[in-house]
Amino acid sequence: MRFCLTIVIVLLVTVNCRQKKNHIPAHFPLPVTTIISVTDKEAQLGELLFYEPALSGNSKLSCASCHNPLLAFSDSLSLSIGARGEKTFRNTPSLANLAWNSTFFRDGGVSDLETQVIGSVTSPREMNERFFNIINKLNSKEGYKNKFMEVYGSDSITGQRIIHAIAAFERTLISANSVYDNYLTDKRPLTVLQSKGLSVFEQKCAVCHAGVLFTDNNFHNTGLDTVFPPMKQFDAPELGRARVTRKIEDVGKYRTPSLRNLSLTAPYMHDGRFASIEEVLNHYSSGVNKSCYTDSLLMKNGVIGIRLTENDKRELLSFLQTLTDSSFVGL
Amino acid sequence: MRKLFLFIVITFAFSCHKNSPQPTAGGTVGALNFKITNKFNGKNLVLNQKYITAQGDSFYIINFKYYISNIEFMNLDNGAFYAAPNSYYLVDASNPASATLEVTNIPPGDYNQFAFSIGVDDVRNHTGAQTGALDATVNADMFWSWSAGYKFLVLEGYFLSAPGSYSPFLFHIGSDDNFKNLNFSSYSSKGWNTDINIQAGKTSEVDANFNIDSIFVGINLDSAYNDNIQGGGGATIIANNYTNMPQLTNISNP
Repeated sequence: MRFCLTIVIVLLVTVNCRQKKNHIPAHFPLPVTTIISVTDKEAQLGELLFYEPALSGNSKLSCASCHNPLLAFSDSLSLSIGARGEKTFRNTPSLANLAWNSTFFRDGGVSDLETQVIGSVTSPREMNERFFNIINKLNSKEGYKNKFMEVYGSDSITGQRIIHAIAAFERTLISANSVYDNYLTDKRPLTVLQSKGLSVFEQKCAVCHAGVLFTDNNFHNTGLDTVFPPMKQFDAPELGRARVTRKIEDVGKYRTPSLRNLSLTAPYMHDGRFASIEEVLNHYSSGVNKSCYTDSLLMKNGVIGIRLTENDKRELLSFLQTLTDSSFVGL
Repeated sequence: MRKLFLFIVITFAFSCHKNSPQPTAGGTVGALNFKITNKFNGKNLVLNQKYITAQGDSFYIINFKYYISNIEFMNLDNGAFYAAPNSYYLVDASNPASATLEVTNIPPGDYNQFAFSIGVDDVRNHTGAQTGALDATVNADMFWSWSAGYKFLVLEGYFLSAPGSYSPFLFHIGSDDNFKNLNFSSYSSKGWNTDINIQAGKTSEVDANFNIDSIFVGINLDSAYNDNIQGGGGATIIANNYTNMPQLTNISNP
């Protein structure tokens, strides 16, 4: 009897622990937010909603329309096209390891994934839909009420539940199985070119693209432009981070993006102005513009930019390819 | 050993439970209705009706909403203090019911200071996805979705920009600097003569006029940028102006 009870309890505890396990890659730091298992019902509902076109005003776009899983949840456009046919203000960012992000959107306008969902769904330039309408549409679709019932214990479809489910799914998108990850965890050697690229990267890029997440979670003006709108233009997108903070020193700053899956997420920069990684490297090497807002990290000893030789660039390109996680995109 | 297992089972059982709602103490607390009336030029606000500002701009309002939060009761003589938890209310000129703010669970007693804020405090302003009056999936138009933060006050309408021609204007005022805390006390000139008396199981009432004229002081709709004020100096002026908007008119005790 006692033995049976023990087994039952051990099983209970095991199941419970498995559900609570965060699936945090061993070589990653602790995430900012809790990650639930991909097999959790809330994450599965979130995945369904992620691919649900009813979330858009024209009922044609889903989150995945711009966050294409085959492209590491990005699209190949400089600026995406929203439900009203207009271009978005920003290049669609790739999605991976979001539970480690402390801010979202290129200018860090929101600090949690749930609110990010609200922003993208309701923005007239993006999905252009009201939650009121989404709820009506989902209520009339087969199966959703049951799914909400299973997850939340009542079949009421609410905006809050929608955003929490999608955010829960997005946090399960973990990319930690690239060639570079295998080099870190299993000591699988890099090629000579890749190794050289890694040391160039560590010397010249890792201040901002820091750690295994390849971001300092901070904002920088990388000298892309010299002319900015006046602060009085309250919501001018070109103000960058200053649009959010209203601080003049944040003009033209954008969040340091992770470089994971870089080879799949072209074009690059907040507005997708560079079609290739080569163009990005050329910018940092010889194209950085000096303005009073340009980050001082890009101006050392009177030199503007980060000088890269052709060899440096070749090696860097080789290293950056190692950040592609083929298992993440189902290749 | 069995005790340990029991402990583990109980621990996990509890860890799986959602927070259960706190029971409210019935009969030992009182309530208060804070009734707001939006006014322009001394008369009840009517949406889409033409008005003239003190600066001479002819205009009409199509949308007027604001957040009232952090309602507090104090007795400056004996130190009694009650801050209504989670008191966030969205007053919407197109929905008369939204102008009566119901505050419950107030400890009985006399209060000679009444305080509330216009806007959302910095903690909740940056907390992200929230519920109730702060649910941005419901009140999406009171939320800058690209920059998590509430619009404390939204005033939208049309003004006479050229003879016979009306152009749109909008004031969307938010950001922590523009969160305003207001005190009304029987001790101050802006206050009243009677204390608020809260009695167990009963509902008292505080009435206030919100005079929208105040918002337009120093704002010429016709000058550059003033037709679209969502931040900066213009927002600072309007936020200071809206502190002059409320005027307590009456206290009814049970």
